[in-house]
Amino acid sequence: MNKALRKEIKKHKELYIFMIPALIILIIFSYGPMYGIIMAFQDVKIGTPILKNEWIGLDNFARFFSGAWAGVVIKNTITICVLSALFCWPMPLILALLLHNSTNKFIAKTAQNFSYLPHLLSIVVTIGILRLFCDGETGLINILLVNLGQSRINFFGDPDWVYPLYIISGMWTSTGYSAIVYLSSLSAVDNDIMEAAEIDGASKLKRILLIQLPCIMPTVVTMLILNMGRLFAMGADKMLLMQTSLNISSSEIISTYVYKQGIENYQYGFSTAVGLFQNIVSLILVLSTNKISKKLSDVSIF
Amino acid sequence: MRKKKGERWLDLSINVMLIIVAMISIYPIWYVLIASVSDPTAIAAGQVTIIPKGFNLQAYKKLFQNSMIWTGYKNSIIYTTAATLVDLFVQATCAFALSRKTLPGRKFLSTLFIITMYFSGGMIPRFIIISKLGMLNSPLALIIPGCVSVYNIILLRNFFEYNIPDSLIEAAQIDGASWTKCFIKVVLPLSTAIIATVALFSITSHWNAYLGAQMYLYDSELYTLQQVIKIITSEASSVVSENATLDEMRQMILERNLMKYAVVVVGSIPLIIAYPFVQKHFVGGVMVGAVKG
Repeated sequence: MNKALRKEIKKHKELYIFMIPALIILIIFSYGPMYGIIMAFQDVKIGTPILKNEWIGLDNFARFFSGAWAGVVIKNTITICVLSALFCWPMPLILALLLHNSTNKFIAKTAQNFSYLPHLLSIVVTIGILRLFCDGETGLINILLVNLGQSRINFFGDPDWVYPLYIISGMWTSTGYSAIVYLSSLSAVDNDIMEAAEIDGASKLKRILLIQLPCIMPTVVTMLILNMGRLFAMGADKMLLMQTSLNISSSEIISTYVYKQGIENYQYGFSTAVGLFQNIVSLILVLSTNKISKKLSDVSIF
Repeated sequence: MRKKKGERWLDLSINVMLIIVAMISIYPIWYVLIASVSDPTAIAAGQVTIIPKGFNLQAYKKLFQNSMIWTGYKNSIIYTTAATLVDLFVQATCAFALSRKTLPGRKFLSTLFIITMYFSGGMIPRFIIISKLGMLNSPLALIIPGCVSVYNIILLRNFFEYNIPDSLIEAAQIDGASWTKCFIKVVLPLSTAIIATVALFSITSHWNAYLGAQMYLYDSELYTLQQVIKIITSEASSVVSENATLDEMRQMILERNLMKYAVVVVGSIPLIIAYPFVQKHFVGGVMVGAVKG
């Protein structure tokens, strides 16, 4: 047995060599940082070897949760998660249904190609466009508002506008791209059922709502649930680009806070602890929602 | 079969809604493009909506005199090319090894990769490791640490495993070909579609990346195009100058804004031009990922 295994390993020696580059990078840059998590429990002094730092238990976490920012950044992160799920999630589904049921091939093709173009733009360009549109003086939106006799809105200077701007730009970026998944599951809907329903006199609207929609519902629910977990891990880049000193009370999220405390203020132990908190919560969300979606798609009522 | 009246209305409204979607998707990009070649006073007066007004290329002239843009372009092209090549090499070799069902320890090794999709040490420990390795202020920080994209490896692995018949590889091995030879002579020539897709994912993600560059590159000589766009688009739109009259100051603000429109166009043009040629692979890749991811 052992001999056979050794023979097998020898036979695949080249393949192990193939994996060496990826494994080295993985161990250094993915597992290395996991080891670095111990800094969350230390008072990190810059220049001290990692194991020589003073161990302070959960002090970093206590400092975060008793600080003024914890409530703000957790609230903002959760609000954006929930709003994104509510508003961004139905859009690709609606778009996919429209595209699939369009009678005009040219319009459908054009709409589809245009709709995922925004996904190719970088986040810097997307927020650049957003800022130009919302500029207080020369932005198109304010010009239109003034022409309509309304007063100007200082979009980036107002905490109340952070969530809408974040969600709307997110919709613009991702709707077309996310629709692709639904389109592929729509094309798998059995044509026989659709034809049978048509012969039985079901109108097109009924066929869409009562056959197509239920058929792709498992995919839809799975996507929603899976994304919920990932949403919480929300990266810092988009928000950092949208932040101004005036809207910070709505635009500071966990990841931007970690970035500032760690990269800009050199609070390595503290920011590692805050980052760890976010990672653990999103891991729990991903695992539990995974379980729910497994149950739902297996025991799906549709 | 003649369509019922209600059905015609439905078809019509579906198409109308799709036209609206298409317009919403494209209009912001179109507006930035026409504004960048228009007269800034006409923009401020709200006269530019569908077509440019007072056509001129002033903003581009001024923009291209700015050496930052050229440095950014050059750097982004170099980093993206290098990073994509490294990505493809590391990911394709690893994916091929993982795609062989006979490989002892395959399950364990796959798990090692997949774990990192769900849990990471976080931004700060990673930053410290990268800086301890001396990659601060070096383009290597953008190329090496991120080259193992587990998502891409899964895409490649699934393709190698399901779309390339085992019999082909076995036949080559019976003829005495080594694994390396099998990979180069048999597998790679049959995998151009998936490699194009993964290359495309790599190119767009490196070209568009911002935060990494912001964290690791300090010298303006090393800045990527995205960093340059960020600097130009977030310049304050107010100008304080003691010698200028109010009108002159207003003119300066307008011109600076025009530069912002131009730099957004310049930053997005490469991908938009390439888009028609690559969109098939792009969509294909999403499908593969969705079905078997």
